[in-house]
Amino acid sequence: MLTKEQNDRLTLVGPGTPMGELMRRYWQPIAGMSELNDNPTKAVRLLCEDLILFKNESGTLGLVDASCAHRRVNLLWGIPEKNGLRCPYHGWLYDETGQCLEMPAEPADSTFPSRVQLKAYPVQELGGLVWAYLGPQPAPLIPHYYPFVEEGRVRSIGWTHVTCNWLQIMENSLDPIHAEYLHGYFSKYVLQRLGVIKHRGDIYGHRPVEEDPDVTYWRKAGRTMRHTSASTSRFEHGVLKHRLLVGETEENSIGWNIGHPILFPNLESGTGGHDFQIRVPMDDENTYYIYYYAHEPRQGEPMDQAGEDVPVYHVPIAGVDATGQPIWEQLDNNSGQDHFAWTSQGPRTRRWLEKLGQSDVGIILFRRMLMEQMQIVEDGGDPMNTFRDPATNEIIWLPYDRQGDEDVEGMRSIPKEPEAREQQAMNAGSSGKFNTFNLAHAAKLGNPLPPAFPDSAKTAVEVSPG
Amino acid sequence: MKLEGIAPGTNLVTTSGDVVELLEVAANGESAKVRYVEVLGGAAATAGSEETLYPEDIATVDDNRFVGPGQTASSAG
Repeated sequence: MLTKEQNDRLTLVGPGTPMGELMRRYWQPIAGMSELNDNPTKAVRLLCEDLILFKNESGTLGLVDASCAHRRVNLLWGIPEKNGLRCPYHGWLYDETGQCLEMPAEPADSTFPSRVQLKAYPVQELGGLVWAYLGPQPAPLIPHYYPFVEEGRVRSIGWTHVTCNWLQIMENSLDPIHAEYLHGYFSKYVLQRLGVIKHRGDIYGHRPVEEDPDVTYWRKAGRTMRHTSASTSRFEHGVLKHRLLVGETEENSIGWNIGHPILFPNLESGTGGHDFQIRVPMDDENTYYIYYYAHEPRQGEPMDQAGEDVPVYHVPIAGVDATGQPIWEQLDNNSGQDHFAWTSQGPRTRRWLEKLGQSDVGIILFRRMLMEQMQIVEDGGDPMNTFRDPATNEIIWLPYDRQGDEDVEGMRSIPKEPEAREQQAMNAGSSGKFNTFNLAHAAKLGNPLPPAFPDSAKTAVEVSPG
Repeated sequence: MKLEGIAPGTNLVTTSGDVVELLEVAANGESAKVRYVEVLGGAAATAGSEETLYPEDIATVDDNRFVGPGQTASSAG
C-alpha cells in the first residue's frame, strides 16, 4: 500500500517534519485546567518536544522547555511564584514567556538573566482544557466547537496515554465498520468469556445474542450494527462517516444522509454529539488521548463550571497479563477494545504491509486529506480549520447522526427519550464508566461500582509486531 | 470494486489512494486497464503511466463522497 517513506510523511510529528509542521498549525489540548489546582506543574510531551506546563501564584499559565537553561534540571520540580516558575536547583526564575528574571547566585548587578530565555509557547484555557500552540505566529483561534462553549452543560475530561502513533487512532475513527466487529461481535465474545451473556450470537446475525437476565449495569452488551455499506464524505471541518445499516434505506437513514463528524486533524465527535475524543500526538509512538464530555445536567450536577472546576479522571489502558494473555476484564467496554486494537498494530504501524479493501474508503480519504493539507502548509497557506475571525468562531455547530434514536434539530441532535437524556454521558460501554460524574450518578441510583479493572503487566504494543 | 458498468474515462481511487482513469474493463470484469492521474499512495507508477489493475485494487469512484461496498458480505448473510 503506502511506501515506508509515505508512512513516515503521514505519521512523524517532530519539528521540521511535514506532519509535524501541519500539527503545529493547530492548538492542541495538553491538560485539564483542574489538574493544576493541586499540582501547579505538569510534564508535557507534545509533538516530540518536552515541556513543562505551570500555573504561577498569580494564576498565569506558562509552557516552557522542560529543562532549566542553567544545569538542565527538570522544571517539573519547579516552584511557582507570583511572577513565574523558579528552578529548584539554584533558583533561576522564569516567566511565562520563558524569559529568565532572576539568578540569585549571580552578582546583583549582572545582566546575564536578560540574555537567557527558555523556549516557550502560548497556552490558553477553553472548556476546562489547557491548549498549547507550537506553530508560527500569528496563532489562529482555538476552534469553538460547541461542546467546549455551549451553555447549560456539565463538563468532564478523561484522559489516557496510548502507546502508539496518533494516526492509527484517527484512522480507527474513519472506519465505521469496525464497530460491527470490534464493538459488536468481539465485544460479545468478551462478555461471553466474562459470563455476562450466554451466547455471543454469530457474525452474520443468524443467531441472536442470548442475554443473561442479570446483566450488570456496567456491562450491557452493546447493540450490533450490521452494515450494508459505509462511505465517507468531505465537509467544511473534515470528514463525515456514513453508515447504512441492515433494515435502512439510503433515503431514511440519518447515518447515511447526515453522518458522523471527524474534525480535521485529530478530533472525533463521539456518539451522542456532546463528547469529543481528541488524539494529541505526544511523539511518533505515543498519544495523549482525551475523552471530553459536555453532557446534559442531571439532578444536582453543576453546569457551566469554571475551568478549574471541570473534573479530570484517568482512563486505564488495556494490555496483557504477566503471561502475555489478554485481560478480558479490561475489554468489556468500547474504549478497552479500541485501546488494544490501536496498540496491537504496533507503536507506528507498518502501512506498507497492510491490505486495504473497499470498506476502508474512509481511511483512504483521510490520508488524501492529510497529504493535501500538508502540501498547503508547505506552500505557505493556512490548512483546514484555521480560524482567525472571532465572528466565525463564536460557536461552531456540527452535523451528526444518532442512528435514529435522536431528533435532529438544526445542526444539533436531541435525545428523544427523557431516559436517553438522563443517560447521556452514562455510556457504560465505554470510558464513561470511569467518568467522575457517571460514578457519582450510578452511586446515587444505588448501583455498585464498576467491576475491577486489573492492571496490565505489559501494553499491547510490547507483544505486537505490528 | 466491481468494475463492470463503469464508464471509461471515470476517475477511480485505488486502495493505495492513487487516482486512476479507467480506460477499459476486460470482458469478464476481472481486470481493468487504467492510466494514473495522481499518485499519492505507494504505487510504483507516475502520472500518465498505464497499468492493469484488479477489482480488489480499486476502492471507489473519485468524488467528494467515497462510497464503500455496495453490499457487505455480512449484510448479505
